[in-house]
Amino acid sequence: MTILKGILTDQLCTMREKALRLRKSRAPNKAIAAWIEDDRLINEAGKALVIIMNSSGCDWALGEGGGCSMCGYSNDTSEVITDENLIEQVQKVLQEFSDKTFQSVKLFNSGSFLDENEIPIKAQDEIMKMISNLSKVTEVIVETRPEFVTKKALKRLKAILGNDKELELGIGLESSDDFIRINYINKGFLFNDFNKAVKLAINNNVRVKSYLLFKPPFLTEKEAIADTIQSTIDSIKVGARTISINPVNIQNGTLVFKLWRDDLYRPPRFWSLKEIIQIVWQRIDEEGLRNQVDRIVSDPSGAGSQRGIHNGRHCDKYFVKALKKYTLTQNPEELDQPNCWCETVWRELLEYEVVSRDSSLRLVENAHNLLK
Amino acid sequence: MRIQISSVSGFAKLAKLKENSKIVETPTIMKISTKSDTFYWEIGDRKERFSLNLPPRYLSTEISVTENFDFQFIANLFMHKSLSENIIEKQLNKTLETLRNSVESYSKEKSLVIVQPPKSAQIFEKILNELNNLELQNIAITNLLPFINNPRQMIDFIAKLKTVLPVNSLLFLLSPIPHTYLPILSYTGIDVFSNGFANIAAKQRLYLTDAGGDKLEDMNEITCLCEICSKHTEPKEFISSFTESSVGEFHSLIIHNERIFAKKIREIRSAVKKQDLRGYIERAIQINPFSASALRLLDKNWIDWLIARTPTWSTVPIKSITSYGFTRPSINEFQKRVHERFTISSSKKVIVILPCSARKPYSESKSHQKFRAAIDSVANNKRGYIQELILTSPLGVIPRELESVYPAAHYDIPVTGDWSYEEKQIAIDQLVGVLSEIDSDVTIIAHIAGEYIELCEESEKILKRSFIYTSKNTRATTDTSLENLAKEINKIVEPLSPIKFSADTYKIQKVADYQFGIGVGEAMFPEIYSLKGRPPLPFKILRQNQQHGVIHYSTGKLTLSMKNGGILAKKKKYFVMFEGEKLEGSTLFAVGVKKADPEIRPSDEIVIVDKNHALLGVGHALISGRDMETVRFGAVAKIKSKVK
Repeated sequence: MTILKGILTDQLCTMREKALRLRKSRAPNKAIAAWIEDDRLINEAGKALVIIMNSSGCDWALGEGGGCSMCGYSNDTSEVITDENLIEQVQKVLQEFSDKTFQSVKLFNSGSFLDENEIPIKAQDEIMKMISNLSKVTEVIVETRPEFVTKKALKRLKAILGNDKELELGIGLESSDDFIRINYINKGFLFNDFNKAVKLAINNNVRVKSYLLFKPPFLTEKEAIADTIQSTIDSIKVGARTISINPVNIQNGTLVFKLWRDDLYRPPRFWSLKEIIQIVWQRIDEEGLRNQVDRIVSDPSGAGSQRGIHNGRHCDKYFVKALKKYTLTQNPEELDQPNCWCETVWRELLEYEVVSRDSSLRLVENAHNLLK
Repeated sequence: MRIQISSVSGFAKLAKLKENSKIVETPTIMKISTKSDTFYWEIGDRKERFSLNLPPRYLSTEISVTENFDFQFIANLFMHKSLSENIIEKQLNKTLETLRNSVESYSKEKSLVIVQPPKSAQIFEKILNELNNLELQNIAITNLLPFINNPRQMIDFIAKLKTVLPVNSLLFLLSPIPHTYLPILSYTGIDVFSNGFANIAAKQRLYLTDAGGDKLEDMNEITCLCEICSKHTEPKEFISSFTESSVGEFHSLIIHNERIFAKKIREIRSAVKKQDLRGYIERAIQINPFSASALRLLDKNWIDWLIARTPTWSTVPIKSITSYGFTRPSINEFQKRVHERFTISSSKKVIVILPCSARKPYSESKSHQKFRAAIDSVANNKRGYIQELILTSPLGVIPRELESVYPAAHYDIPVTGDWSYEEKQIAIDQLVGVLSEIDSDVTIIAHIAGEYIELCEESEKILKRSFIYTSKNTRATTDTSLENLAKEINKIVEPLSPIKFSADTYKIQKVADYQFGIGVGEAMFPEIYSLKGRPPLPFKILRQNQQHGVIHYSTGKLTLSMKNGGILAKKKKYFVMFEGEKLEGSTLFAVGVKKADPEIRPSDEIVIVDKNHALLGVGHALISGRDMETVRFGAVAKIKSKVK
């Protein structure tokens, strides 16, 4: 696949090089983290085992593309990782959690599971084999960029996993708008590339989860809301049955981090996410898409903190709870609470950001401070 | 759209925007309005307003211009300071290309380009030069809020815009800045402010006041008496009237807050109109440390430009209450001119240093009438040996001949008898400056008492010469000290041979020097002249019943006659070079200007010359000489007389 450079590519390459030089060294045979969490399964609430693998990192971030403007996951990778290391990482986690019950396994490797350079075929196969032996597990989720989705790879993994376990590919579409994805996110592929990967997956009985980035840099929050709503609908229409909405969180060494530090970026607000989720479900009904979607989840990293999605400290912790509840139940009414006066402020700032194109309005969120 | 400057005051200006008989005066505010559910900006705080579309996204590859708006955004530069210079330059070039390719689709006077605080000074310079090349001079600023705790960066950013772009360009501020920042930012050069903060504050239950604002629930008095606020006199009642009616909307609070904004901008505009913006600013900066630091930084780092854009001649009283007055452009420039353009004539053998008086010009005060009586007691033909200097704060030293020149006759200070360290330093510096080149055979008499003595003693040390003190132990106006003064002067001048002296001529020459540079006075007025006139009418400069110009009582300014205009033209000073050969009408416009003397400041008397420096007419400047060369349209000077 050819590299589709965006306007930010050069700077991101330079920044990435610098960030990688600061990478901490980690034990190659240990996963970065693993835990069990409440999660929405395809049809009901359940438990998922999440494994963050220590891999050699995302091909796109390490290569000529420079990676995405908000993504600092390459900071949590290691330069040399063998297939044995990878296998051992998963093995250890499965051992550690062997007495726990979970129905879903989510394997995250800060890149593409289907990329043979990152996860060699031997490791891919071994890991799938181990998981296929877990009888209670009904779904397995791995992440990948669309260019690594091939018929051969899908068939191979599906064969190992067997038919009683669903395989889902999480693909970071981020936005269905090519201009935003290429230029503001620097994702390097087109909506059509995603579309093709989804078709391929469906034809091989593999499911697709569309990862959407809520509030890429250089958009106003209002534009970002519209973009994520549209991207959700577009993803469903091309066949992604799971949608994961990911509000930007600030990760070190990224361009978004730089913008944030310069007061030119603010992570989105819960109110906006609530609006997205509620409108999306409306649109799904209006367009008769109910039977094409299983779940629309959002489990934001850093939720409620300065670096993650947050309102203004009064209601953040209630929103974190409400959002968790929504994800598990898939009932958007869960977000009707909490009520908070800061909703009015949010609505006002949303409009002022549009009319002023000022990305530093975070600084008037506590207007009183400016009058002292 | 026509943009017409009425007056300038530092980086601020009073301008009229005119289109189809509609007029909006700046400085003003802009607010969001709706028409059939779409938002747009309205520029103006009075009935007549201009409309402005909403700003475009970055990197739009086409310019959509409709007839519906009076002003239009045509580009939003992708220049966040977090981006690499490479990206900024590349995208700038793309945007410029779009602008160049569609140059026919937009009108330059109606177009706005959005900029934000830049990555580096070089890249900003480049951007502004490119905009200049495209003759785009109306700029909207966004992303300014991160500088709200950094006055230096904010001032430098805006001042850069003001100095690279023509003086009649318009600066719009899109960022919702609090009303308390409006005065200092007007003085820094913002012409149109978003009043967005009024709304944003209202939604946070903030009740704005002149000096700041309070949370509704923390209010203890209702200080506003507008018809909304005066319905309730009890804060509690007032608060509940806001919170009970339609929770979250705060409609009346928005109206009140918007009024505070409108009031602030009108105060500012009114001050510009009264030509007293600087005075207003010196009072207004006490509102927050940001404003005070910003004014200091402006005076420190941008004084040349502030002086260039501050009228030399005015009638507005200066109340120098705080130390911020010491660095005021008018005062700074006066001190500089006394240094550079005033010399004590070599015929002077006695210099008398006198204290200042509250009444201005000094010679109209009781104390100075007494001093003069004592000085005038010397023989008439010896009077020409005496030079009077008046010591004062914060101007320093005022030669008697310049006592009517602005701002020497127009300032007022709180007098307590205690001089601050800064005031003392200024006075000593000025005194030493004026006396440093005086021959050793000249006697310096200090007819001063009290707190002035220290100043003179310090100056003696620096000058390494001693003064004669004639009222050291008693007030300067007592009979004893006045007798002392007369005695000491007479001692010196008695043995000297008689000389001719015309006080009026000497004064006229010194005023002309002050106005146009050293030596000009004698060149323009080589004979003996007299000044005739009764205040407040101008003094006529007469010689043998023929008039050679006037000196205005209210400003101290000398008006050019055509003959003196010829002399100035030959000296290539205070000239504006006109493209054509013959002047028409009473106004000189930018299109006719080829060159201008950078010394020219607004209100200065000027000569208009042709390419060979031959005189075409005389008049006065409306904008500075530097600005005459960069403006592309509009009036630059008034023409008083023309060569026939």
